[in-house]
Amino acid sequence: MEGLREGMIEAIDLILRFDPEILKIIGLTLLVTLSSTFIAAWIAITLGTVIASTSFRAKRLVVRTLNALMGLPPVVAGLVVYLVLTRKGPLGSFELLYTVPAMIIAQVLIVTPIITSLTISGIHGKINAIRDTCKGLGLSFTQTMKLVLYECRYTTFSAVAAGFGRAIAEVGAIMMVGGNIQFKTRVLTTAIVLETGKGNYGKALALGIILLLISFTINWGINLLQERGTDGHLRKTSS
Amino acid sequence: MDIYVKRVRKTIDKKTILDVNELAFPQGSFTMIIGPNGAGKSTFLKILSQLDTNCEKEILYDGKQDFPQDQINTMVQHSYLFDLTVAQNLRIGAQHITDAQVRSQKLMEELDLLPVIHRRCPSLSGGEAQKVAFARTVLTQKPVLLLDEPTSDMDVAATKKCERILLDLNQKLGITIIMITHNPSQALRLASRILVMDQGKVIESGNPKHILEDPLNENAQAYLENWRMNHV
Repeated sequence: MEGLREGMIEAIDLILRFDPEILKIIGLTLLVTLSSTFIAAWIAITLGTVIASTSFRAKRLVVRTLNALMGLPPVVAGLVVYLVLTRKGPLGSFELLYTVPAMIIAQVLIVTPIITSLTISGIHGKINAIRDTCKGLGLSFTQTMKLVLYECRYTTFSAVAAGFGRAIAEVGAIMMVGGNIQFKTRVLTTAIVLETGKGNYGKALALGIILLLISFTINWGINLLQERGTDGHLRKTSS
Repeated sequence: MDIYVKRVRKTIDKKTILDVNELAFPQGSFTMIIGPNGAGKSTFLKILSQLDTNCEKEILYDGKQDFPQDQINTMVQHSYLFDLTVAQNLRIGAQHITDAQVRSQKLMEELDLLPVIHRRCPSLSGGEAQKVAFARTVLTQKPVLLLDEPTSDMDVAATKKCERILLDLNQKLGITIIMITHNPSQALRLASRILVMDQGKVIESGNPKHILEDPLNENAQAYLENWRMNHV
C-alpha cells in the first residue's frame, strides 16, 4: 500500500510538473492508441458488417479464423510487422521501422480481428431479419448496411471499446517495431517495462497509474455514450 | 404486373422442400396461400420476392426473368422494425415522402397510427408493431404486394381494417396481391383465388368458396376439417 501511495504521489507530481518526457509519452500513447483503434475500427466495422451480411462458401472458415486471431500473440504480430518493415523486408524501403507509423501498423494488426469478430457477433442475431425486411422494401445494399450499423450501434461501440482496451495495454509488438526510443517511440507501456527493469518502481507505478487513468477515462466516455443512447431511447419510449 | 412461375424447386440436404410448377398470378389478382405449418408457403413467397435465391427457379415478371425490385413490396413473417420512431420506420421504404406527408396519409388514420406516430418502435405492442410493418409495406403502393401473415398478431378490429385496405388496393388500384394466411375464412373474405399447399406442393388451386366447401385433395380436406373443428 505504501508503494502504491508513493506511486500515486509521484504520478501527480510528474503530471503537475509538466515533465516534458512524461507529456511526450502520454501524447505518443494517445496518438498511437487512438490512431490504431480508429483505423482498425474503420476496417473492422466495414469488414464485419459485410461478412455478417453476406453468404459465401468460406464464411464459416473466415469467421473461425477471425475468432482465432482475437488471441493473436502481440509478439507474433510485432515480429511479422518487424520482418515486413526491416531494411531487407518487402516494405523496408519506406524506412518505417522504429517509427510511430510502424507501431500503429502493429496495433492495427492486433486490434482489427478483435473488433471484426465482435462486430460480426453483434450483428449476427439481427442480420437476417433486417436484410429480409430491407430487401422486401426494395432498399439498396448500401441503405441496408447503414441500417444494420445503426441498429447494431451499441454492440459496435462495445467492440471498439474492447479494441481500444487491447491497444492501450499492448507492449510486446510496439516494443519490437517501435524500439522504445526516448521522445520518439516511447509510450506508457514500454516506459513502464523500462523503468521496472531499471528498478525505478515509483516512476513505473506512476506511469501505470497514468495509463490506468487514461484507459478508464476513455472507456468511461464510451460507456457514457452508450448509456446516453439507451437512456435517451428509454425516455422517448416512455413518453 | 403478371407473375408466372414456370418452375420453382428448393432442396435442402437432398430433400425437396418445395416443388411448384406452372402457376400464374395475373395482374390485379388477389391470391391467398393457406396450408399447414412447414408446407413451404413462406419459402415460396421468399423465392417470389427474391429474398431466397438459393434454389432452382424460372419465374417471369411481366414476361421477363429480371426481378423488378422497384415494383414489388414484401412484408416478411417477422418484419423488422428499427429502433426509430413510427414515422421514421414508415419512411424507410418511402424515402421521398416527408414526415408530414406520412402523417397526412389516410392510411395512418385508418390504422389508428397517428397517436403513436412519434413513439419509438421497440415500445409498441405486438399488434401495433405489426400495423406499422403493414403500413410501411403498403404505403408506397407498388404494383405487387407479397405478404406473409400480415395480420397474425392483430386484434379483430385491426385485422378488418387491414383487410379493407388490401381490398381497396386490389380493387381500386389493381395491385396484385399474394398473401399467406392461417385463417381460411380470411381467404374467403378477400381472395379471388386460393392455393392450398402441403409438403412443398400446391395441392389445390381455385375459387375460395369451392375449395373451402369441397376440397378434392385428401390432405386439403384434412387440413380444412381440422381448421373447421377448431373454429366452430
